[in-house]
Amino acid sequence: MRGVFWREYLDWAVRNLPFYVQPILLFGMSAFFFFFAGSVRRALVSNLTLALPGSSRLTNHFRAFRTLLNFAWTITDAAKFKLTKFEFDYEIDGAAFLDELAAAHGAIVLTAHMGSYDLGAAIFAQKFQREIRMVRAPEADAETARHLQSSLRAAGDGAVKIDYSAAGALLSFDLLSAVRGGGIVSIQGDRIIPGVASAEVNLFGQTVSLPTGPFTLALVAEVPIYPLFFIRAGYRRYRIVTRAPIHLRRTSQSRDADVATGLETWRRVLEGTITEYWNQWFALVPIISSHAKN
Amino acid sequence: MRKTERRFYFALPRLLARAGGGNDSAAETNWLEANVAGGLIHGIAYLFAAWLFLGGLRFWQQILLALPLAIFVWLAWLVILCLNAFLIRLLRACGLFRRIADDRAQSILINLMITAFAIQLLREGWWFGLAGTIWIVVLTLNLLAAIILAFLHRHETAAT
Repeated sequence: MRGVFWREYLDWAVRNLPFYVQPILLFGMSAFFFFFAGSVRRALVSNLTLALPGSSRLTNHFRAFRTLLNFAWTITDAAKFKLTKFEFDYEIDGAAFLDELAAAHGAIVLTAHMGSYDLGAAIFAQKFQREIRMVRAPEADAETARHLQSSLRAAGDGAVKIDYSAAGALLSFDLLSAVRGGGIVSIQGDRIIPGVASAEVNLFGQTVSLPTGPFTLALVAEVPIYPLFFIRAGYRRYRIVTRAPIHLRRTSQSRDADVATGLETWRRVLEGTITEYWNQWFALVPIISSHAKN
Repeated sequence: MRKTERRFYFALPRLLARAGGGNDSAAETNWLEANVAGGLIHGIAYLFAAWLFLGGLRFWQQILLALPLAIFVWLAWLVILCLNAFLIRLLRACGLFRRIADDRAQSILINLMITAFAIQLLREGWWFGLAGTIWIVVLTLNLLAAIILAFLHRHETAAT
């Protein structure tokens, strides 16, 4: 199920097929992946069990299918924007915070594997004429990574630049320089990969590890963190959800304690957003087994 | 923020919107159009496949094969859409379809195919015939609406 073939097929379909055949094709594709990408299905069910306690396993299977269908729509919409510059309808939840972010001299956008973060970054860059550096987990497949990179470059007209979180210390200095220079850096803060600095928090009553990099960067660069999510709100319609910025201050305590304060605020935002938009939490690996240290 | 254009897939809803005092400019942001038109097209294709493959079978066999047939029809769509793309290339090499975008050329081929299926269904039993009739009526009304809208737009352009 890995490889660039699916992404290329999607690009072909977006370019070549009329919009009215897409709903049923996407439904079929989602069903195909639901049955044949077993690890993804199990991960979604496991994460939903965490986020929505008390629901039955069967119900969570239906929910996992709904999440996959939403995922199919978001990557299709992102491809459509990239290839045709189609203008999507969107509404803003937290407009004041978004305006603040657009005017900020150096800021960190903290997001999650929710909704269409690729499309969101491209639309934000276009709307506010700001460049964004997007830090993301490396793709397992090199060709897919190249395809994704060129897609984001095309969608954002060059204003969205991708960095990979596995790049190490050099990237940290690079990002620090970028935010100090007034730039915006976007980081996904709901999953960690091996080798990335993390700390344990209590998410939905379970101990999981979340990345601490964004908070350390905010503390050192003295810039605010804006939690932002680009949620699919309907057919070709999105909602930009921006929450109150997290301002980290150096206190007399240790740096770890300051980072922990920021991380706790983020955890609350993440928990609330996942609860509200569980059908768009595209964490396709189980957050507990890969990250938790019970 | 919405892209508006004069070219569209479905003229009938545009004409109805105009008659109701609304805007007839089109955008592919209409959930209802995408799903109703998509559902009707896939429904006709499914019924045609059911007539072709399940026609002579007993009722319980038809029930048993209803879901596998849906999967088969979905897979067949993937193949047909690819074949259409090759056909469009071929037609362009022959000088046809050169000024039409890929998705609109696909739309023409899909509608021709579904209309052929619907004509076949008209000759069959009551349910199949009803589905075929619905398609033919909707298609005819849509074509009429397209002609009326084209005439109105030309008239408005000339007036301004």
